[in-house]
Amino acid sequence: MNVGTASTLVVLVLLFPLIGSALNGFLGPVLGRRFVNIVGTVSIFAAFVTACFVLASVIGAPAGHASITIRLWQWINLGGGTNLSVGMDFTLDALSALMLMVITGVGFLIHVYSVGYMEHDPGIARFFSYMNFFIFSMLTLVLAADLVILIVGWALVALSSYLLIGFWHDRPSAVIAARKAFITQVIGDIALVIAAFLIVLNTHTLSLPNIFARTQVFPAGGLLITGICALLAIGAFAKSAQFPLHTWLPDAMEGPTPVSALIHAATMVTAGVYLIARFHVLFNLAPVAEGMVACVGMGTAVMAGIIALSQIDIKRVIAYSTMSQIGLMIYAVGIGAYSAGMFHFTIHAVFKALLFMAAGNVIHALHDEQDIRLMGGLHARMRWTHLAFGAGSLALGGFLLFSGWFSKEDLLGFGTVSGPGMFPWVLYIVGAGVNVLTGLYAFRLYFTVFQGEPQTARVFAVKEAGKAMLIPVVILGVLAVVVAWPLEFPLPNTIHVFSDFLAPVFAGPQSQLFHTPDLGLAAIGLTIGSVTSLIGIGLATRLWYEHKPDAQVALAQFPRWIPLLSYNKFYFDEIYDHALVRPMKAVARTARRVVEPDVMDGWVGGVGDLLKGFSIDLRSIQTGLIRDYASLFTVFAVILVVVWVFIAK
Amino acid sequence: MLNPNLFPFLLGLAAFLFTVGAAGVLIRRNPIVVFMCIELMLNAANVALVAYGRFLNSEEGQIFAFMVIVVAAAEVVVGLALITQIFRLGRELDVDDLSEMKE
Repeated sequence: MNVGTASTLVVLVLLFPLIGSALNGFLGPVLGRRFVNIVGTVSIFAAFVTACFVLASVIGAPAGHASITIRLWQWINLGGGTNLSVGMDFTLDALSALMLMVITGVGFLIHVYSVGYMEHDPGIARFFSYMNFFIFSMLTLVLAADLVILIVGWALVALSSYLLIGFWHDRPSAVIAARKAFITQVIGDIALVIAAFLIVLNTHTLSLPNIFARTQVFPAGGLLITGICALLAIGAFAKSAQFPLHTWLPDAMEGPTPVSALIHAATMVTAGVYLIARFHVLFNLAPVAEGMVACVGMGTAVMAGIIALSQIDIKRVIAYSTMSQIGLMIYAVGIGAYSAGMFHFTIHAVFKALLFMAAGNVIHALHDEQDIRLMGGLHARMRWTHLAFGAGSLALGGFLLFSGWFSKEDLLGFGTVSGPGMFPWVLYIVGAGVNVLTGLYAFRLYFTVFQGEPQTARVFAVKEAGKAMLIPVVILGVLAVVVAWPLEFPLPNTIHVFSDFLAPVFAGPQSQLFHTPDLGLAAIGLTIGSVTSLIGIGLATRLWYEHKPDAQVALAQFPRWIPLLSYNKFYFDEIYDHALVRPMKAVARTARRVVEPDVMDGWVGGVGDLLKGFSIDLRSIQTGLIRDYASLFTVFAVILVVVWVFIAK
Repeated sequence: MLNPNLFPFLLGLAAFLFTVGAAGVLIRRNPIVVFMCIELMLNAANVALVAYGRFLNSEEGQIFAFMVIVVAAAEVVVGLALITQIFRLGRELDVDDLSEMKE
């Protein structure tokens, strides 16, 4: 791949969604729904085709030349002695090619789905404009080879997410949710920007390849690199909805369902995983930060899994399962199993987008009903959606030979050997617990929604979704079963197309926490993983299939605080409300009552009064008598002449 | 050739005329007299210009004096029109009385 080809591909893949966004935003309201639908989907399809070319050229490149960084133009030259410049730099390598494929591929299917889902919405032009803009922002983020461009992309996806969560801006809850998401992400942005400053201070460059080439300035395991990685990780946690910055994701479900599928399941929330994978060279130098990342990821996976068990809103259950699965990915990149994390990201994007879109079909068919207690028995009435959702649930639950099984067992398999002492085994056992939880909540949702008896009369009137909404769901349903087959098998010396593809990116020094498990350990890990998945799914079948009464009794045996914690999401919203929001509001009220009138108005008004007094004095020379004006004029003219003749000379 | 010793006297004349004009503008209340005083100031400037032109052996002083005469004529036209209008309104011709623009 030469520079010219690479530049052309980068420009094209970025321009298509941007042009789509602009056309929809400016012309869409005038030219109507048909135009918007075509522009919105075709622009993403064009980007997808370009992404395929990128993938082909990365695969086709000779060994050692699969990564290329191009500079489209220099954006800002900071000059002086700093020698710093911000360039429009973009990297094409296996990692960015993979991200491009997932973002544009899954993104395209979701855009097609949106045509059906938003069929009756008057704001369709605005919707597609935002969606295309999101794709553009996300592509900027994953292609960026310059810290500034990366941060710009990072912030732009947060902006698009904000716009799309609050898309129905006449709903107060949607607007509040959008604000919450944005504010939480800004916390992460600040951490990321501080990390960027620290990196630039020490490496004296903004270009990512140069930064990664100059890591010798950081003493391995030192406080500095650990701090930088911890800050990067906080940025990643905010974006990827990890503890303790996770509370925005469930609320983000206020947005339209295609948005949840695209942004809050498949792409944006996994940007944190991408960030850590992209900065793996730095993370490898900071085992403490890596351990923290792994623990936070696994902790979030457990917590979100427990919460998902008792939520009653269909989209929130899936949102918590997303949080849990991203927790696993974060755990994987934390222990240095980067390609395993990216593999789970890829597979997860497929089956989670599928689950969201199938859930969207259900919500649409029930006229915006999201309470799963009012559903039930939908399998007979929405057969294709049911099949696709079932495939997605099996993939999520990690059922044998479904795509999720490959990625999740692969990921957990690396956990068996990572890190010192008991560290890996504790986390691995927790991971096995997450596996059980995943099967449980995935199939609780499936059984409650699709099996059993209809819980309301409305279910009897349900019709299957239209073609635009069904075809993407079915395509993803098939992919959720087969996509992992040719890519990866979670045992050494078997199929490793995917990790071989990514290997050049993650070549070089490995994380101290990372060891490839040998065949025996991998087989044990695989067995434990498969068995725990089956236990989870089996338990869910026993508990929720046909709504068996004895199962409800069995559930009631648990100590009361467990379901209470789960249902109330561990009271995080309440804790944040009391610990942060209310004190802030109290401070703001005090400021308004005391600081505003006495201090601010004091000096602002003071300046005003001063000027007013001065002008009242000045006004007295305006007498209305020409004589006075002429006198002043003469006097000053004389003064001017005197000054000029006797002093200035 | 004019006697160079005359030059200070010519400038002195111009300064004298200018001062008389300026004093008149400041002191007198009748707009017609004020106008005449302004003309006096302009012509004082003309005397100075012509004198300089003569002593520096250049035509520019005289050309500029013609410019000033034209401007003065235009100004007189506007000024007299204003005065006529004020007179027609039945107002007293007193510049101190014409101060409605103050507020």
